[in-house]
Amino acid sequence: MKLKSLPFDCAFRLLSDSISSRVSAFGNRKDFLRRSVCLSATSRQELKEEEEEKKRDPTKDRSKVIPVETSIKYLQSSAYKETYGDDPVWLHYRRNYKGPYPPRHTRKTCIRQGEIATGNPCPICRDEYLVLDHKNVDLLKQFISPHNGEILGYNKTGLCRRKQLSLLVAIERAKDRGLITFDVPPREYDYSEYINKSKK
Amino acid sequence: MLCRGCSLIFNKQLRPFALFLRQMSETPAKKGGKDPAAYFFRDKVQHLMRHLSRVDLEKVFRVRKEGQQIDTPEYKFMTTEELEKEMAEVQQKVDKKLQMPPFINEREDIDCVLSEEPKLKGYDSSKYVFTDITYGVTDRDRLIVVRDTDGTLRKANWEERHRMNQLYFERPGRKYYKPRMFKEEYLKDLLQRREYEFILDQACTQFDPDDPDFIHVRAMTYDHINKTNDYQLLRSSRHFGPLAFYLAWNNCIDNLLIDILNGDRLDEAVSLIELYQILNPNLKSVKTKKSDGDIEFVKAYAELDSPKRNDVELALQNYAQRQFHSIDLEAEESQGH
Repeated sequence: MKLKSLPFDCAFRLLSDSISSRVSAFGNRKDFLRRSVCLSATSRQELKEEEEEKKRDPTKDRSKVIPVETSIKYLQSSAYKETYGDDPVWLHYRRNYKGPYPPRHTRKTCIRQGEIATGNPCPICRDEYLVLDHKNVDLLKQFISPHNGEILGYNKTGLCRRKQLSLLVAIERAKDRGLITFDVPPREYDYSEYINKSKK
Repeated sequence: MLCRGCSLIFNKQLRPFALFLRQMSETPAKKGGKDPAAYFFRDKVQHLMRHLSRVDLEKVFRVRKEGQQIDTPEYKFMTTEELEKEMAEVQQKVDKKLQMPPFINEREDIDCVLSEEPKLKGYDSSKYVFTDITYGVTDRDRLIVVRDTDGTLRKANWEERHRMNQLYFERPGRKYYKPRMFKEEYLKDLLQRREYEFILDQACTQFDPDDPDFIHVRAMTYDHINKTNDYQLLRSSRHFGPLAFYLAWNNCIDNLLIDILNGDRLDEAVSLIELYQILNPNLKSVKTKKSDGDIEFVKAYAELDSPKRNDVELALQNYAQRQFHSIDLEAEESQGH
């Protein structure tokens, strides 16, 4: 099949494919097309239709924001009980890595451009009904150690770095509002400061 | 506005007099001018409050979750003398842990202008705060002054003092801003969940004892406890003593007295009434001596001074009945053997 015998659009696309596969510096294939060449109207329309047809996998779609109240109800529901039982949500999650030791840091984020961009998302990202918020105290308490009250790091829980940060923020807010209680460092008084002042 | 000469004369001679006049006209402390600090720090009162707190070593030395490193427990073999030495050291630790937050009056606002220099007006668009960070000076005594935008040099007010002290001498657990948990809605939620010790510990760390916010939070918590009779949660903590003092200061010890009698602790009931009498020397029952007997002592208080006379007398009667019943049971058992 010769290039000349094909219709103009197909020939054009074949050429551009072969070029873009060699020129990696131009990044995305569509960007290369748009930047370097002025397209005909028909090929532009076809590209648009291609994008619209490409529907998102509903299990990986995270563009919809779930309200906190729904998440709080979910934690009391039978579906949650069936999935996680009485264990914390991170307990049965295992990171995938080569070799005996996991990398020190987990991935930056599981969700890119509103959908899950990885095959093994972290315990919070994989379940869209687990929302990290200061009102969702039951979920936040699962990430606080029952032995010494410290917040567990992502090396233990497997959370991605973005979710770990939002967890820290949510716990700090909950502690500020008194929704989570903790042991406060004791305050010592020097009575002499208060006795003398009263006598003045 | 006075001229320079007149303002100098005013600052030197008349201002101290003006301050003196203001002090005399200010509203007196609670309870018709009486100052609780005059009573709180007395040894006798401290001893009574400690007795009422009913120290339980298990609760005082419970495991605190403060983010510390978890170590394996240490076991020691000791002779009796070594054990007694350890217990003496433990008593000192208990004294330190159960040091009671002072119960004193609200502080007055600081309003002291050191100098007025209208020539400095418009020098800068922001105020300057000067803090003396000399080592060895306490937070309350530290000199903190503010140069306002209109050139006035004045002593910093309490909010500015708090911010500066926290900035230069950070105290663990204290924040720059007032935590949201002390707002009405969150505080009510905490009281409903009965987290009294947490509220009071946080208040102690965040505020000074004479801060109006601290006094308000404390009063709200103690009133809630008094209403719901939830005294057990605060026992063996540093806050029970001030709770008893607060109730005695505001003439509402009856609920606590009934709770103590229902728990069969006559010695604590006697201590509570003694505390009440020390804070109110004009009571009618002050004349009854303790040597007559503890039950008589409590009875005298119930008859003469108690607002809830019937309830207290009923509780005392039930206590007496329980005591005699247990004595009878013991007598029967000893006869049976």
